[in-house]
Amino acid sequence: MPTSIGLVSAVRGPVILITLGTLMAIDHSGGMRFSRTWPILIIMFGLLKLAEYMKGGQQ
Amino acid sequence: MKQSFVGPIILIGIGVLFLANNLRPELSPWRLLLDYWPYLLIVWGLVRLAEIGFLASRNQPLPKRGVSSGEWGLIIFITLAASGMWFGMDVRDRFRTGKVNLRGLQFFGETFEYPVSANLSCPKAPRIIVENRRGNVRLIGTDMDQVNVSGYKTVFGMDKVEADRINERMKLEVTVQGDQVVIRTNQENAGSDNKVEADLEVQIPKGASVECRGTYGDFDVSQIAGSFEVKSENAGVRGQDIGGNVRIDLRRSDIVRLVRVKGNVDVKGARADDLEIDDVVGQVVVDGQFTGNIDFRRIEKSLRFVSKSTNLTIEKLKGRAHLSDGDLEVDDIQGALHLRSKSKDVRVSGFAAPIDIDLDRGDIELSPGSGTLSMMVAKTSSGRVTLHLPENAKYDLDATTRRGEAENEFGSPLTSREENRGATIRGGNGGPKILLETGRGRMIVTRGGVMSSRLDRATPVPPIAPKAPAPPAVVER
Repeated sequence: MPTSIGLVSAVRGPVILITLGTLMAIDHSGGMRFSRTWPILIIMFGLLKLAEYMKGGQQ
Repeated sequence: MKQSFVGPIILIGIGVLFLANNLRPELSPWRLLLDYWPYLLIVWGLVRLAEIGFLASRNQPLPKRGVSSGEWGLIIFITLAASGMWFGMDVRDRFRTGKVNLRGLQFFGETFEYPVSANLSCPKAPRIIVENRRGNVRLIGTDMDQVNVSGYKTVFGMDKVEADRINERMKLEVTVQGDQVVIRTNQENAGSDNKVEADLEVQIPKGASVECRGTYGDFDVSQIAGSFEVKSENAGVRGQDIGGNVRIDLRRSDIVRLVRVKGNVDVKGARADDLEIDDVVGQVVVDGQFTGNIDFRRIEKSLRFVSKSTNLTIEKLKGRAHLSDGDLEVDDIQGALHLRSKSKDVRVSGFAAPIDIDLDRGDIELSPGSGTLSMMVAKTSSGRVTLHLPENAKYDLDATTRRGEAENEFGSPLTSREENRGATIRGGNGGPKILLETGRGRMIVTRGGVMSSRLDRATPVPPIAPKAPAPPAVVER
């Protein structure tokens, strides 16, 4: 039975990947440059880590 | 843990791309990949997410990591390769050596050129609007009361048929409406995916004003009595003998060069390399980030230069001001000079009006002209300050280094004194105040003398040969 903490950590990679793809797509379509938006990746990573921590705390 | 099916899918995808490339090159699959690879990453992530959701719903064990380290390696490789290719294209765009400048991979197809020309009579002092998305435009003022356009369009196509079709869609359009003349190459109609460009040479009446709009390409305007305006994403701009005001607004530029302008000059460049502005009767305002050399010569009214790290104002520049990454050299000014900068080595020579310099870091060297002096304030937090004081000048000097030595090579009436870890040089004969200050560095006052480095040197000074190494010491035991 997968725990929710396992789910969050498993989901982390794909979510970061989707974020990266989205930022790159925005960059390509002439919006904000990736060189300006990359910190969002760190924020996402931090949020997911935080979610993992919160889930861990509940158990 | 079960194997993900993303790996096989990617393999299949790569195979399909190569196959498509071999069988149907006109689809230019590489070009598609280059345009849409970010979406590939998104789809990849979504597929992984779906997999995990599927496993979780069936209460099967989840992988510890949603994306394996091998996959991350591949993702990073794709990202770097694709953005690197974009960067490469960008760089290639900037080197506009040949006539042909096309975006996109040129694995297939070739370029085709189509001549264009138009000739219309127009008023004596028209307002000329040029809209050319990609390509170079040159406008020259003539004595005739007509607009004369000649040049060629460049179309990239798989074959002549495709190129002809694209060419049909982008027609040169020249319209005269009242005193307004619009020259439009309609490249937008060719479709955003098609690579087209137009290079034009336009003869216009001398009295014209010119307004240029583009995305990529150079604009070169000469001999007009009216104003000159450019708005472009990326352009080299050259203007000569302009009677009116000049306004240039660019996001990127390799060079902006303006010579002999009667009106005011206003240059905005988000990112630019070189800038050269000579002989302007009006005032000059420059706001932008320049990575190359900046030169101003003979600006009759005021010059204002603003960048992230530097704020410079010069009134009545008779000689030349040169800025590069770490240096500012100014020679021969009639009016005042104000400078705030984070980091620059500053040399100012030939001035009589007040100057005010404030640096966070950098050396200051001042060599006023031989006439009467005005108030001078020069401060640096870290750097050497040198003042070449004219022999017979009237002044009231107060020079301080908080940490460093003071060298009084001028002699009487100046006196130097050590204070704590610093030193001062003070003295005067009832002239204007000269205030010099450095937080850390040497303070030097010399008698007259020439700058250690002069502007407009005819020949560069040859480098000094290194000293011969000392012979090895003989060790006696």
